[in-house]
Amino acid sequence: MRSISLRVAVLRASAQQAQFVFVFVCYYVIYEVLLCPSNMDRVLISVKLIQSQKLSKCAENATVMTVHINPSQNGGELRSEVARLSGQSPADIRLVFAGKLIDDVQIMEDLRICENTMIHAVPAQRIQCHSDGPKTIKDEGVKPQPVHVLMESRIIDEDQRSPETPDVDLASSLHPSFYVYCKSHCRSVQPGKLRVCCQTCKDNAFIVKEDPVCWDDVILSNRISGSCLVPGCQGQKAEFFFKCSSHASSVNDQFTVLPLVKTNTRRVICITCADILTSVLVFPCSASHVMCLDCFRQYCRLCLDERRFIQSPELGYTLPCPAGCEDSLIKDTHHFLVLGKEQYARYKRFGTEEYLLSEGGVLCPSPGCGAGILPESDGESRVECLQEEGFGCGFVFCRNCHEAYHEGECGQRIEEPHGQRGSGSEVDMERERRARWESEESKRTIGETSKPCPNCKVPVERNGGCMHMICSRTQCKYEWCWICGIEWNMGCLEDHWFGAGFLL
Amino acid sequence: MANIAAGRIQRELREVMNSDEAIKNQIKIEFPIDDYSELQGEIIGPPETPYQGGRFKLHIKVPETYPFNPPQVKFVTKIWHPNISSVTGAICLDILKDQWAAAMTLRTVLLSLQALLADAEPDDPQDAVVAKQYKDDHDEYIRTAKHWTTVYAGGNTKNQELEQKVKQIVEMGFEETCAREALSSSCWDVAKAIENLMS
Ligand SMILES: [Zn+2]
Ligand SMILES: [Zn+2]
Ligand SMILES: [Zn+2]
Ligand SMILES: [Zn+2]
Ligand SMILES: [Zn+2]
Ligand SMILES: [Zn+2]
Ligand SMILES: [Zn+2]
Ligand SMILES: [Zn+2]
Repeated sequence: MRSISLRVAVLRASAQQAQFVFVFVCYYVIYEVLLCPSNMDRVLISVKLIQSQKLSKCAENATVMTVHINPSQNGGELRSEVARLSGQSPADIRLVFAGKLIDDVQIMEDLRICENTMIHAVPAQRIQCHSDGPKTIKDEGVKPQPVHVLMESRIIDEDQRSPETPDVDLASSLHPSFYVYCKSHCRSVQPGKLRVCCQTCKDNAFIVKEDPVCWDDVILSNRISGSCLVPGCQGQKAEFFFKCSSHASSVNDQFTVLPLVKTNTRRVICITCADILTSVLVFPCSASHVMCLDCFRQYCRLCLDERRFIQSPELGYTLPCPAGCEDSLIKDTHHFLVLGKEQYARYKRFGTEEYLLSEGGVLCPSPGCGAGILPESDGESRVECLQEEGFGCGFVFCRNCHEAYHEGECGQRIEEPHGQRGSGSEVDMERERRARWESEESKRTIGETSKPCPNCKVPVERNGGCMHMICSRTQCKYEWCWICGIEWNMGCLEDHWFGAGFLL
Repeated sequence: MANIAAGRIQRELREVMNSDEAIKNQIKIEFPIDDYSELQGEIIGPPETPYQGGRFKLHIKVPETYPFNPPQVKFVTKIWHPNISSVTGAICLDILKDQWAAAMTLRTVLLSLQALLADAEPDDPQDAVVAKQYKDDHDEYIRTAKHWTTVYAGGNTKNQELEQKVKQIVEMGFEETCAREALSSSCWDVAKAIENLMS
């Protein structure tokens, strides 16, 4: 038995409208039972009616109704339906979706209209007011596709630079999509939807004059103009935003678009795990190397742990393509959101530290602290890790050797503080910290697989045969000896290049 | 092992096993049934090198962070080569260290090692003694490398003279491997080798 699904919610309906609705329900039932070939794949969408009558604040007075549509329906049919539901003549309204007018011959399926999609019904005369604006209705044969469909199809064009590659299985369900990091709800990378609204009043009843053709058009403001259809609003500039496709969004949701994440329409294997996955990150290298999102997350995590991120003056703390490609640094560091909340915070901290180091700052060498400190004067070798706002440990150390602070040259034992009664307590405190640090230090290094780089003090893992270590931090690359803990030299090469009896 | 590495290693093993080189019996890889973290590799010595005719076994350890970090590889079969430790089999090869890239595979590693046998880099040595010999007395290096290939890697260029010298020292009560290493390091000068062994 086929169920008849019809739900019409008119939030602010007059008595007259209710009558229309009733009439329509009867009509609809007849249509449903007698004429509609199948009710499969029906989706429930929302239609927001923008009133024409002197209402300045549309958002408060708009009527929202939900309508079941059939994906094979066209724009004209939907328009008639909305008109009937709202008690207007089809000639008086136009439908707007994602920055475009919906053409009468446009099939709903092609617009990617899906469950919970919101479309706008605006008074036809409102469009006429902007007659100099969108030409889409008159454009013969060119259907005004919504902005997100246009953008996505351009992304495919862009990706098909090398036509010899066997490709796109577009017949399958793999349709290209934007991707967002859904911060508040999913806390993961999700397919996203591009939407457009009026920069002035933020209402979605807005049609663009020209299509965005690149990421800059979408990400930077004031690049695309159009017309706001909300009565009383003179908005001329489009504002683009992204939503998570996985759920209906609420006001507080936060999404960050990730331009390098794409649908793997060409079925390229992941450079890391060699699987073919649907959502991948495409590195900005000339080879466009592809990595699945799982591997990308692990890659980021590993590089974070091993301090392999690169501090770029222009781009910030970022990563290159792991295949070693030139000029492959990820430009938008929001991609590192895939690390998850906790690790992303760590990423931010490390990034700040590297920035600090590049600006002449130092990291507190106290184990478990590692706070970044920007010493005030260049000449001063005494650095104090100030305790404030939950950061810092109070350790006072030498800027040059990273040991506890000392008078005189580095590398010499501190004299017993005889006859220093006056500042005795302060010295004792420092000594106490130093002792603590040393014992921690020795515990840490004995028999470990990682030792701090003698140059930058960041732990370096021993990896492979010989004792010749190269600090893995791109910023450092210091060459040192695992056994001696000093710069690699001829003596090390001759004496213990590879540890005697050393086995893998 | 982490999931990434396991899946990828399985593919790479298949790649090695189906490769032309494997079909021609030039490279080989073996592994325990469900542990892909410790593998046995094998390469043959390239023709027209002192390693020709030898089969060299390798121990390959795949780190959990593979392929973001390189596999750790060392020679199990003893070999006389400037870039490979004659004592431990440790290898000094850039792609196994900081020049590693995630796009490389076990097959490329095996082929690179084969290329290393054909083309040593004495200026970036792992074994300083061999490297010195390679540069100062190349004929002696070739003789020694051939000898090691025969003794340890199943090569077939027997050198009675060298065997005789090893025997001579072994009869004095030294272990054969030590005797051969000492002789090799002292250009097959028996007196010098004994001196080295005594010190
Ligand atoms: Zn979401
Ligand atoms: Zn507006
Ligand atoms: Zn992958
Ligand atoms: Zn690349
Ligand atoms: Zn501190
Ligand atoms: Zn110092
Ligand atoms: Zn370092
Ligand atoms: Zn040393």
